[in-house]
Amino acid sequence: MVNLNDTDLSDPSKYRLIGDSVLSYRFAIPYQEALYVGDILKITDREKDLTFLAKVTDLLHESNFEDEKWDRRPHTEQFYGLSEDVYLVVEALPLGFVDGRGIFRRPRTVPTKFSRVEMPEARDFAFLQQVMGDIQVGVMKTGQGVLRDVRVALHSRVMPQHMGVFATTGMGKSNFMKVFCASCMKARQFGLLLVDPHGEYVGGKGVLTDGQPSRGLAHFQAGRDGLAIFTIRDEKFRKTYSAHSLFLEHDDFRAPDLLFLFDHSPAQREVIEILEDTRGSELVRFFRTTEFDDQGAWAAATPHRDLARRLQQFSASTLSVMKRRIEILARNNPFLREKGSSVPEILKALDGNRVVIIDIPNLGERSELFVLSVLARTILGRHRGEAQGWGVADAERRDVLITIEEAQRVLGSGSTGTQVFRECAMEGRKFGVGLCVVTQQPKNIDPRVLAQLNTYVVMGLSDRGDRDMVAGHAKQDLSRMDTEIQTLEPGEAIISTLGIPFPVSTRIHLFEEYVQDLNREIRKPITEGLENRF
Amino acid sequence: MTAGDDYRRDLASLVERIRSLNPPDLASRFAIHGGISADSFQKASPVQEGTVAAVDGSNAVVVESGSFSIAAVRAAACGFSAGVRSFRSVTPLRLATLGREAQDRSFADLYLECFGAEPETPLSDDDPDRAAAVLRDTLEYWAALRTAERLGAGDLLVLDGALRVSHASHDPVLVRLMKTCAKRRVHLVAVTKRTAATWGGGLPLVPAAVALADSLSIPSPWFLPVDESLLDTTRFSQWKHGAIVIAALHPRSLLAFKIEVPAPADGTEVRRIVSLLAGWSDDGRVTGYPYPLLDVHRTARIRADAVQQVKNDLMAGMGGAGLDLSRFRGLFGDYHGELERY
Repeated sequence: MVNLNDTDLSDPSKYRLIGDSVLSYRFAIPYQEALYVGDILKITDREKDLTFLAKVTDLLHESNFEDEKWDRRPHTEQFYGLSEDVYLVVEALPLGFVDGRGIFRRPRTVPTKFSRVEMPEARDFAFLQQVMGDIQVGVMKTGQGVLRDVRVALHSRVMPQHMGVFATTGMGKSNFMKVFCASCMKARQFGLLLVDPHGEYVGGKGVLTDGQPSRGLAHFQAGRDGLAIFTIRDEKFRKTYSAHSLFLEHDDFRAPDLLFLFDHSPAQREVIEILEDTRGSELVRFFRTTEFDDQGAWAAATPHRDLARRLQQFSASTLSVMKRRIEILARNNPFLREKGSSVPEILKALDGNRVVIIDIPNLGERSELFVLSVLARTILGRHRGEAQGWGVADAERRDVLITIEEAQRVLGSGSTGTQVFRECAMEGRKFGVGLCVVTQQPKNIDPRVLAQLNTYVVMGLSDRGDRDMVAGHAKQDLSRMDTEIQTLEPGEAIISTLGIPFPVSTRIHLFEEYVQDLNREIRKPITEGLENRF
Repeated sequence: MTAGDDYRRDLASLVERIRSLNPPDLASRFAIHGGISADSFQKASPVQEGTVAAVDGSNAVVVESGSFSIAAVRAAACGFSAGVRSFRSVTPLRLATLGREAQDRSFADLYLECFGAEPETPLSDDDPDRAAAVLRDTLEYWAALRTAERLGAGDLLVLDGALRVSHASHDPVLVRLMKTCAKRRVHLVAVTKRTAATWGGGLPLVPAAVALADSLSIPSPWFLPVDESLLDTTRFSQWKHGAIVIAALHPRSLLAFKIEVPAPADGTEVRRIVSLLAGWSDDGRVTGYPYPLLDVHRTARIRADAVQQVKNDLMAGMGGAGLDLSRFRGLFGDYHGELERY
């Protein structure tokens, strides 16, 4: 008997995997579905008992019509029955799969065709809690929303392997750094050095968009033991925030540090190279007491015989310029004095796994880099010495992360006078010294330095060159996430790091809220430590 | 004279023939010839009420040997109401053997299955394509009957083609369909995408009506009942049951169609039918054409991949019966397939 069979019109047949490969998925979903780049989807493969996860990288309109231009006809106001033939193709980046035992694996197989695609729930990411670290920075973001129960946390153990924070102005770099610092204060797994030329990290600066005053690390009262502040500001400020005065002594600096303070001619740079190992106090004494002349009489007259021998080939004018600069350095920097340095205290605080803020507002860019150079060289030198001497056991090693803001100034391809930072980048990880490279122009960072970074925190980058540079050097493949990086909003980041199996889209905590939560969470009960019996 | 000259002369001749079918005074000639004025064009207002259902069929020759062919046929029906499809039905793909000896039995079996009686006229056409089309029509009329039975008063059933059969055995079926529709007060219409109807010694009918409507600034949707005496010839007039109307269904479409409604045509009935058709002729893909017909066409259509699937199943079936691939090639293979590869 002939049949005329009704077809089920309610078949939700479109939310299924339709193809591609191990490295790329394509889903069909209804054309009116609200899905966003960055959304994470779950593909349930009942045949293999695997649950795949994939991140949406692009959305495309497609249809079953042979005429590809069906939608470009002049009369396109009304269409019937679109939902069956018109759909969105979702391109997605495979993140991996969770096997039957709940273990997350790299995406080395492909889901069965037509596997169901669904929005995941927080419990689908339970495996992630096992791989997250101890430096919490935000919550996992999926498309427009967040999974509040999935906290994103970096591993403190990989911090000496360098970190890059990339974002254009206004995308939330400072907020990220403050959240990062607060988590470091809480975890206290390594020392973190941060030079703050704008005076914003200690007590906050300015107001937030809601009119509330911005907060600083000092407001994280429950974690205050993890913070050490060294400042050039007045006593009132120091008392308010329990800060130390910042002083460097002459012996703290070396001639190459001058490269950050002044522009130098080739001859003057030669002088600096020759004096590279000379202690700062000796340099000050030598140049202050020597009057240079073209006849070379100064060399015979100076008691600094060794320096005279090394410098007598230079003209009096070159040496006179150097003399003037040393004078300016010694005279004009209020934090530089002959004796009495904060450096031992800074190193001690770093050894204590504290966050050390060097608070030098209004000093200018050159002074900031000078201070940073002095401290970076001292830290690297000490760690290198420990490693080359008797050494320290791994368990005793004190890791330090040195933050360099606007890092393109000292880590660019053509930067001069930045040897100490390059050494930190290239060799530091061997000695437990990591760099936190913060920049809004990653394309201007030396690619060899970028290649050393094992943690990438990528916030909104509008410049294609910057995005290409980041994608080209990250340890995990970020190239397919270009659209998402372009569309990141302030406070959002893609984090690629060791220990977390795939790049994680993250909504960074708002520092003020995060600190409030931390203070609530960590505050000890008032009865703690009291005898509980008579 | 060279081959190129011959080609150019044929081309020029063709252009002249086409020009003669579209004379500059086509509109006025059509008006005078048919006694048609602006008042002859009737207006209709697009409306979506009740259910508008459409029925269509599809056929494809799967394989051909010198002596017989295998065809696949199916029919489908779709119904629309309140802006969305309310049902979609399709027959299974049916296979039939077409050949001097076999095709009559295939047709008779299918006809018997559909209508419970042997066809009054056997199928004796040597052309497999035409034979397959008759088989398709058989299924299509059956599907139309079933669809008419699920519709109610005021609904519209749209057929693809004309209210005229191309094989004598279908005539009682069409009559039965028209009676069923009348009894259930279901409107019935057949829409012809391309008509051979001419007037005035070979001038195409529909373009002339469109030209006249245009010259008279008649806004679409409109319809024009056509007196059959205007036409040059009428094919298969003994099986014809419809009154001819030309209708334009959307203001932004240049197309018009010959439609047929059960004769004798009633003006109010025709206006209602055209209004219902126009109500579903605003889809952006086929503006001016009733969307239910597009939908049912797509549902019924036997695409190349379906044909290939049948071919594969046939080979597998032959294999299972001990007939290997060489036998298949021996029966159905020829150099046409080979030539298509080059």
